[in-house]
Order: sequence, then C-alpha cells, then structure tokens
Amino acid sequence: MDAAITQTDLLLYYYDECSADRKAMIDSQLPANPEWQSYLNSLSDLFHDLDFVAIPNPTTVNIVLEESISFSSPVGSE
Amino acid sequence: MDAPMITDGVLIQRYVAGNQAAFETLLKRHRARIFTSIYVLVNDRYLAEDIFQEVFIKVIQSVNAGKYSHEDKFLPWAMRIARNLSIDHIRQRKRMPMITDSEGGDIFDNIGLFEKSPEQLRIEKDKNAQLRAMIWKLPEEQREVLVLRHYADLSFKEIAVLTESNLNTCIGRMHYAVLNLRKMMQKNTVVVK
Repeated sequence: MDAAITQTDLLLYYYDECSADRKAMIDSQLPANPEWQSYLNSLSDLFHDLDFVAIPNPTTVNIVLEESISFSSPVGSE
Repeated sequence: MDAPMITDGVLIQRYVAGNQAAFETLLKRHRARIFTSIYVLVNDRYLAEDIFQEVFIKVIQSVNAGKYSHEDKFLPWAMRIARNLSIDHIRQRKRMPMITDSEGGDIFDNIGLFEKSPEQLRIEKDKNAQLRAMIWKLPEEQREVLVLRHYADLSFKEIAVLTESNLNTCIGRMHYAVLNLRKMMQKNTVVVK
C-alpha cells in the first residue's frame, strides 16, 4: 500500500467520499497500482455480495398509511 | 428522461398541508432502505416489521406536531429513529427468550425476482440468511456502521453525527467490518455468486 494512501482512503474513495485532492491522487495512481485495484475489487465483490433489499409486508405499509391519514389534519398552506 | 424528483422536504410540507399522496410517495421512496437496514440490524423479520411501523408512526406524529425541522435530511432523521428503536429492541431481546425467525417470511425484492426459478429463489434466500447471520456476528458498532452506510446509504459524516462518534472512528469500524466479513466468508465459504 502506498505510504500516503491507506485502505481507509480507498474505502472513502469507493464510496465517493474522499476529498477532491485525495480522489485526484488515487485516480492518477490507480492504473499503476495493482494493490489498490485489488483492494477496490475486493470491496466491490464484498458489497455486491451484501446487496439485498427487503421490503416491508404490504400489510405493514397499509397500517402506516392508515395511520398517516388519521393523524393528518389539513391546515392549508400559509 | 426522469422527471425532477420532488425533495423529501417538499413532500413533508405537502403532507402537512393535507396532501396524503405526498406521504405515500415519501414512504415508498424510503421503505426499502429503512426496512432493509432495520431487518439487518435486528435479524428478525417480524420484529423488523414492528419496528418499521413504529418508526413511521413516530415520523407521522413528529411531522404533524410541527417538530420536523430537517428539511431534506429526512433519511438520516428517520434512520436515527430506526436505529434507536432497533437498539432498544435488541437490548430487550437480550433479556428475553429469543424470538424465532419465520421460515417463510422473507420477501426479497431483487431485480429480476419474477424471472427466477423457485430453486434460484431458494438458493438466494439461503444465501441472504447466511449473510445476515454473518453481519449479526459482527461487533455491534461495526454492524451499525455497515448497515447505516451500505443499506441505509448514509454518508460517513451523517453516520458520525447519528451515532455521536468521531468520523475516523466510523470509517475505522467500517474497515474492520469489511475485514471481519471477509474472514467469515472465507471460513464459511458462502456461495456468493
């Protein structure tokens, strides 16, 4: 790993949360740095594996919607 | 291509002004991220349904009481409620007998769900259950950051504010969560692809 760039930097880079100068530094050095590429690929694989989405049961959603109607009291915009 | 998205803040204003459809849009926009996060945090489908309801009832009450002041920061605000309620339930559960998870209750909304065969769906369901179990084995602080970053899609800065932690601490926890999950995956050889 490069002395100036840590795995934490790469983690932030992966999530597009690193500073502009860090991002520019990683962008420019990445093609010549297989170790970084490998780390980023491993992050990508891991997060891809973790990608699943669960949705609440329609009954749960309906209960919430009914609740929202019962609470809502039109006040009109000012 | 896409119509400009109405912001969360505007949807809340409209709901408070009596537009019920605005609330429905808000709920549908965030339900998957919030529900998945709760589900992964508590690892129990039925409990996740209950907490999800509680979260939105608190949202409804606060918004109608004029207590919402976060403009377009709806998701971090709702996730704070979800996170706190999940932690409360986890602590209660530790003091009580374990609630058994349902076998057939998982409805995973994957892209192409309807194109998958029952066998593919079963494999996917098993894999998801394994992954949730692994996430559940992470230390609480690591699990929390992973869920908030990956499933709730909050930024590390937002997570730091929400968990009242230092930004670097949050990033460090995520880093260790990644390392630990990778180790667990290698050990358990989860079928991931």
